[in-house]
Amino acid sequence: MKKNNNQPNKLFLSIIVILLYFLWPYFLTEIFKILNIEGTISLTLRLILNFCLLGIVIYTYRKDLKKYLKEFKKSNKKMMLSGLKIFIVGLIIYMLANLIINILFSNALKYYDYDSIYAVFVKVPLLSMISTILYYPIIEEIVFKKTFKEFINNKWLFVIITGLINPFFQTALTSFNNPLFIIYIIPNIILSITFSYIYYKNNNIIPGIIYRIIYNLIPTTLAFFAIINL
Amino acid sequence: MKYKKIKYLLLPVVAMLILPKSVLAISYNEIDTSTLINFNAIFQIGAVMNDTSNSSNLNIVIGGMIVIILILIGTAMFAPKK
Repeated sequence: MKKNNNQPNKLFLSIIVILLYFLWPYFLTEIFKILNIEGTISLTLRLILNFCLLGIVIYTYRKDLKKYLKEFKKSNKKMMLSGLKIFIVGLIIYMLANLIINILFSNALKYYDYDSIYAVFVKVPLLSMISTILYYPIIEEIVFKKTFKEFINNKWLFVIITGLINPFFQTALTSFNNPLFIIYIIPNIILSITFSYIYYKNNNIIPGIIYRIIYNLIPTTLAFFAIINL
Repeated sequence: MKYKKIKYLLLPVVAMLILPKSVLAISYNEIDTSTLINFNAIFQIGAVMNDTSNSSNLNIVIGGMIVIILILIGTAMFAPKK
């Protein structure tokens, strides 16, 4: 069996990307504290500087991402169509899961912390919309999925592990202390598994990112229009 | 071939039927925050938004980060080589 000498380097790179992604918000907070930047300006700067992080992450994986882009250009129709079926099925299950949760737990909504999400939207709606549509889908697919794709060859192991990690943070950082945390996470897991499966099936991260952007367009556009009308 | 193209054209129509609320909301700009929150019970924003001022978030981030790195190292060590 041929020994893969790049494996330790790739592992090191993945760990650096994960550390960078998680520590970046805290690094910005400290910088803003030192420079005494507060309020809407800090929020605006934070959203802009997040794109710098995205640039760093894209640069780190530039070779792989170029390869993905080249392959996607060659067979974009095939990839998007195979992804579309998975996306529609995933989205329907996701919507049903959310509906069932809201029917079974009629008080569920009041526990969910929308404030942290919509507080940002109210202050900088346009930039928040751009971030949610472009920044989050790209960076989260790379950090939570691409880093693992290097090492997990088993289809279901990859789909399940990467499908669990992203929703954990998505839900935990807004409602970890709520008793309904375990329930909230279920629909997010369904959606995340959908994107992981699209990635694995096409062996390309781009269709998953595109479908995630399409999905994020729905709640983000609503939030944007609702907030500019307040 | 033509039939296939018609199928793709039907997609937005199906989407509108599934999401009548969103279509109406965007068309008429009549949505308020409570409607938005109700609607977002079905469609949550898919983003990891970390409020760094919340100290319990730091614990979640540190704990989660350690678990992720351990999973990554574990899979790198035990996964069959390509």
